[in-house]
Amino acid sequence: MAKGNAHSGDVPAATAGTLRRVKIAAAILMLILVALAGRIAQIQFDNPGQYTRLAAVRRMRSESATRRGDIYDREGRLLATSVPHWSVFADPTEVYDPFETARILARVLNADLNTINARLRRRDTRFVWIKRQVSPSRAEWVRALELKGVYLRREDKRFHPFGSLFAHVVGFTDIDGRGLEGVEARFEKELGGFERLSAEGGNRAEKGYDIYLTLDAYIQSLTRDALLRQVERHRPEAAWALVLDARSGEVLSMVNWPQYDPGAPAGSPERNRRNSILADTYEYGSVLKPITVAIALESGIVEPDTEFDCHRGAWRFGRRTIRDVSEHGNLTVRDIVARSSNIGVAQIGLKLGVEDFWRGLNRFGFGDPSGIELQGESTGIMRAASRWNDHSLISIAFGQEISINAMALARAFAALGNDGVLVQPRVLQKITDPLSGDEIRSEGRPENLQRAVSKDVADEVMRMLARVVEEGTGTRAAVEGYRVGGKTGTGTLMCKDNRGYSKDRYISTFVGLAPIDDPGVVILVSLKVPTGGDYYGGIVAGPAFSEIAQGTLGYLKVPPDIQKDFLARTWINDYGSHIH
Amino acid sequence: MSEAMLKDAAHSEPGCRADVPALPGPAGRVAVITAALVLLSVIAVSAAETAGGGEAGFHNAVLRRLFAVAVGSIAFMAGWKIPYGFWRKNSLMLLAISFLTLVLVLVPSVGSSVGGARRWIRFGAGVGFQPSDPAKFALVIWIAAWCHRCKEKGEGAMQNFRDGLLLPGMVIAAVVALMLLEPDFGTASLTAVVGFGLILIAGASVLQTGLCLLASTPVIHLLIVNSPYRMRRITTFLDPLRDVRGGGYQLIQSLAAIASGGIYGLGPGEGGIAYLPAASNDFIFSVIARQFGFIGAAVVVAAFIWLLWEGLHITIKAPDMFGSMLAAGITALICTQAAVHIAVTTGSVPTTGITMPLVSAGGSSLFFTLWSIGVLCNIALSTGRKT
Repeated sequence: MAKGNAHSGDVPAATAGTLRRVKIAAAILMLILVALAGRIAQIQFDNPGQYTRLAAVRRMRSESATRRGDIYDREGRLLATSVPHWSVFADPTEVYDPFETARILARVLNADLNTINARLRRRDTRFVWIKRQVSPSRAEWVRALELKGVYLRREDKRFHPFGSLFAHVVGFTDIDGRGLEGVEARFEKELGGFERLSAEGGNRAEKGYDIYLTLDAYIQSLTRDALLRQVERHRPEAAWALVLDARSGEVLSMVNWPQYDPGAPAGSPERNRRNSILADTYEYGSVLKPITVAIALESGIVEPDTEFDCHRGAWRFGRRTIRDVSEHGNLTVRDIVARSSNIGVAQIGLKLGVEDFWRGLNRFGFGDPSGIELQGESTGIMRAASRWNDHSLISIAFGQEISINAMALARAFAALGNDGVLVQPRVLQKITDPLSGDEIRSEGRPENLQRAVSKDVADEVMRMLARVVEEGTGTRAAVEGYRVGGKTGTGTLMCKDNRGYSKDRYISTFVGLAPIDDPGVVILVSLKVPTGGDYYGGIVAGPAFSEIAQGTLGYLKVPPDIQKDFLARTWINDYGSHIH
Repeated sequence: MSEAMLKDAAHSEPGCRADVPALPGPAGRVAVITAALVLLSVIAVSAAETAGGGEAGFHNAVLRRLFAVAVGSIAFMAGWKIPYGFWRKNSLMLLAISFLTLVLVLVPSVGSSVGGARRWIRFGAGVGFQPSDPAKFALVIWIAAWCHRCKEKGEGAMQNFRDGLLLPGMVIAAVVALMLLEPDFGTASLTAVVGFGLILIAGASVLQTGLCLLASTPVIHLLIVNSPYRMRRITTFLDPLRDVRGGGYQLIQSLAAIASGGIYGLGPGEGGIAYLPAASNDFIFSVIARQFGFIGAAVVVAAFIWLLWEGLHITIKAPDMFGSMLAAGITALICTQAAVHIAVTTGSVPTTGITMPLVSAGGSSLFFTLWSIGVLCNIALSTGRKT
């Protein structure tokens, strides 16, 4: 039937089969095109409003008509909120008299006349900003002037009632109201509240979700005050302090110095905006010794009373000489922690061996991110066990060759206070819907956390930490009315060119728990490169620990240890130790 | 249905040609449809490019578009005048040049990168082309020539697995793979569908082709899953609201533009949608539906259906196998691409950047499309002469 084409003999023509398939293919394609015409009709006639509404909602959002959610501390104190502001813009093609308009706007908005004039004279665009985020009263003024081609649009400004106090945790937003750092960035979706917008058609959504943090403004501010006092005294490059609930892992305060103004983040150098507690890792030094000892006790290679010869302050191992600050003869494991003996703990490390040591550190969570709900956490460097040698064992035993962030360090100490079980650090308490009051998400205590050491070992190490404060290197960290425990650390920083350790750049730290018998909080204080002459962790950071612990325990209504002296005496009798 | 179409074709054809010579034959009708679509594009593209830019900008855009049309007309005339047998004789060379340009565009110093994709070869001063544009036509020419040669060997030659499927299939796969590397997923899938469609039409075994496609599904699956942006487009298609800031945003704006058109549209001046990215290229149909309403959109769809209809007739009446296959290939490329474009803008398939032939902005695409339509017309004219 399709042989109607004329063709000469030697030229092959399409056969009937081919033509049948052509027609089938064409028919299919035609049906598709007809169906698409039907689809267009459906879009245009079957409730077309739904699409235009959706598109408008999207546009509304981009013009910041929704209010960003608020951020509160655990007691409901406002940390960040959006205050209504207005931005002035113009359509240059509509402006009647650019110069006169510019003159009026410059006076009302207290802005530069030439800039505005130049913008109003542009002909390549129909949108120019005149001034962003002006106060409602000035905006009212502009509105009353009714200048042709000049418009206002709502553009909220983020306001931080506590100023720079929470800057490193809460973070800040850009001028369009998008979170750039900290909680503002991490919970951008929830705070921006757009998810809800699209789901419900966009009419009801005037505000994003509110976020409640585990931090407490009171503890935060006393942490900062105590830290600043030490900063003034020792003039470090940087400093940070952290209070962690030892049982739940909730962060109660988190302070970094230098600070910055979250309302004008561009006004301070970028390093001021670093949350060093998470973002920076260091070899924190001797504060790791209790962890080494805990691992050694757990593996059973030493007992608390096992003695080590501390070689009068200098011990040669291979081509390396390990030194102590003071000279000691034989020290028990307990004394090694209290006196912070490098030589003693180095021998414990060697005795532990690569495999047990590495696995023990792993159980304490080193080498893993803490999993806290904040951005920019750096996990640090813990070398693979296969690359360890005897010297690594020695170095790691007193906190070198292992680079960690402050949060990981505090978490390991919290495990000692939490009967040997790791805690999950967190800053988020709950997310609520301000319109309905519903809790969108609340953080319960996570289950199945891994055990670092047994309860007995944890309790034993806690007693050693108490001795550090009572008679060892950390006496300046003592707290009136409470028994506390902790460990000093003076880490040596790398030279600026990263070649070997510096001789005069230290990081001085005190980490401790309070009260010691039923630990409520872990407190960490670090000063990086103190320049006031002193650099021992006990002297530089210890007093801040004491002050923070005193204030926090009182605020949390923890009853003081009234029987402190009695307890101390029985403890000394039990263990037959001596006091200098 | 195909029976009825054929009868209709048989009746209308002699009447048009012999009795009333003033009425245009199929070639003339194709030219008229093409001219109408190009004219529409001048208005739509200019309006879309100058959304809210004032009158001066609009006039400039119209002039730019008219210049592109003028250059394209030369290509159209070339296709119209050159006897189509010329393309068969040079099919291998055309394919080789296409391969070369498709490879060259991937070289960083030659291909220019836009948004992470290397699709353009530019000669400076705003002159350039996307190698995948001519390549898809070159591939169709080569397939048509190949089928023609198979037919010369004997009636059943295309049923042979090696000649009918393996060899042409490998050539198609190579071209498609190069397009995927740019990456240009839209053009690649279009080329694959039309290419394999053509060898099926020519007589390749349906069973064998089906099995081959089945065997290659893991590869296609990998291609999609391994490319985050493709995967995202599919999830966006399934739920545009989930990704309102990215692809979903585009789709919602496109749907809103179409919906706002109503029956008669908002008029040519109202085409500009500042919120719709790539309005003059990948979403030109949304702009047309907004400007000219359902009537305008339906006319565009009808124009492509008509073009398909004329293409079908030219295929059926072509004097030889090469002519038939080439007419079928060109028609399929243009009409399938239009269908995919409309499907994307109406949210009927996942978003992929594909232009509407003849209508979307872009001079080089218009150039090659007009040339291919010229070739189609030449096949139609040859039919007339030989009868």
